[in-house]
Amino acid sequence: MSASPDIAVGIIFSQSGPYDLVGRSALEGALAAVAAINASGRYPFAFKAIVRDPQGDSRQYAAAAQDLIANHGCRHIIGTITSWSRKEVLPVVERAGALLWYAFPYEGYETSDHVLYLGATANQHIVPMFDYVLPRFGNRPFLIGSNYIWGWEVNRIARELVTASGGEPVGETYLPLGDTDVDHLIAAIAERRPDFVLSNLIGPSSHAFVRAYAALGRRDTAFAPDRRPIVSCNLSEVDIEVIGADAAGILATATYFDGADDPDGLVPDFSAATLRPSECFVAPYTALHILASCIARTGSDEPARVRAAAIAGGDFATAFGPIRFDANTGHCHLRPYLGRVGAGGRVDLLHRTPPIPPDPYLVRHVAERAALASPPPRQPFQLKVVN
Amino acid sequence: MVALPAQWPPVHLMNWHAVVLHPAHTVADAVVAQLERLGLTVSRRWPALEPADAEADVVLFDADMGHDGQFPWPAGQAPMPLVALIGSEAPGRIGWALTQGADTHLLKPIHSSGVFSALLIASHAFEAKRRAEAEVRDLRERLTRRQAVVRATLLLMQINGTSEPLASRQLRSLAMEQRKTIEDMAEAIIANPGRYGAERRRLSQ
Repeated sequence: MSASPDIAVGIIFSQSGPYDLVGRSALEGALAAVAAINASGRYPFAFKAIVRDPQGDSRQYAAAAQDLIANHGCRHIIGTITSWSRKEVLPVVERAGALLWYAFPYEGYETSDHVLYLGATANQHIVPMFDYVLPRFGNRPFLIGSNYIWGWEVNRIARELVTASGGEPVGETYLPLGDTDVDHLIAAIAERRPDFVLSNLIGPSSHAFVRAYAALGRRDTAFAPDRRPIVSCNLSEVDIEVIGADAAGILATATYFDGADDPDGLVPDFSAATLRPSECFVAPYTALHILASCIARTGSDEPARVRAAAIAGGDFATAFGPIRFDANTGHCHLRPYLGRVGAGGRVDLLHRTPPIPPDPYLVRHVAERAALASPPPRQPFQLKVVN
Repeated sequence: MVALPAQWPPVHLMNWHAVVLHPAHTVADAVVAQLERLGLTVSRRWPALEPADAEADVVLFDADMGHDGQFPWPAGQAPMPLVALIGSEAPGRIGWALTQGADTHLLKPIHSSGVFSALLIASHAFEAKRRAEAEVRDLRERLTRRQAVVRATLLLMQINGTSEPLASRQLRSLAMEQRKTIEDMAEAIIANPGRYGAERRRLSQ
């Protein structure tokens, strides 16, 4: 065992700013994992968590990563939630030869030898979600989002899926991050009467919109959640907890929902969680457990060797169920759930997909859909059976 | 094979004014520093260009946070080479950069190498695009004026009672004498056909 007894692990999650709830839950998950790993007695080393809080300010992320690597000896960083913050950390990690464990769903279009991606990419969130939603509610959605890459790109993919199914979006609108003035949005939706609303809003904007839309549904039952639901790929229990009863009826997707413990998986220790269990807590918790297991397997915390061990490691028992990494892309094979928020705020599971291999550039998806759309190959000649 | 211009490299970077349209960030600092090392004069802008920036020799713009309405010209009609600065490779963002008319791109983070190649490639692509556009404009105009050539030929045939090849030859020689394009000559004939009939008779006497 060449690993030193204490292994410094950098953790970067914003504790304030427009997505602070997710960041706070993620930090709780990471710290709970460090405590569980250190107390387990299973590993000949202990993790030392070094936490940085960039306060949701994109300009602080690179400096935080640089500080963790250069001044604290961190070779592994667990963290970042938004793509813009990951893009800030990525060059620092690549230059230093460190490894970033990115554990949140994102829009895709990235692979790096210095990142392991545990979150769902587009073919594991919006694609299966629309496979479920379009046949049931229709293909004329209203697309909304917070004004940054997640919303822009998920809505672009949504538009593509909807168009391929013969429908079209009836509207597309973005709110500045943190903006809670949603009246114009509600008015536009009430007027255009979409089949459903795809919301890529985050944080307070999302909460304000869900409340206002629930009020619309009470005034006019045509907008009740069973008729015209809100659909989201980024709404989790930490949001539901803040929104309250108005969240009922939202259709959501995640690789973990509170209580959806996989029979073949690892049950996380939620005892230290102050926020409701969700993917936000479980994903960093999972990343740290895989990291510990790979360091134990290779006998080293050297990032390239750990990454290779993760990819060669086959199935890891996690709270998501057994998951494994794809060698080409460093993303995970995942089994996302689709759920509906119930009256009590619990997410009722509607469907769980079979394992979906990651396709971060949607190249396989495009090829498969094209093959589906084209007619079956014509027989070159007719075979006659002659007696 | 694509021919290079007679003068290569074609750009006199020392005389160039570059405008960098990017939020304050180490990416913008790195681009500006590298452009200045190459001898360019550089201005920074965000969130939008100024009308006078239409005079710049090259514009390097952020594709990640960029949006419509930042440029003082219609999308795709920049009067200078454009370099897109790309962080996110999401197709939506790349598509937006293309609709602005990006002639090439640089990936973030910005390294000390890459900026020089981007300037040469962008200026070459821009010139090629401008030449091709001018040629297409010219051909398109000629195409729309082909009808005028046909009408003028028919008029000359009628007035002078000549055959089509002769009328055609007359149109070409008139254009040459008067130093006009065939199309301009044809329109002059249509505007005043009698004059060319008389001329034809005078010439044949």
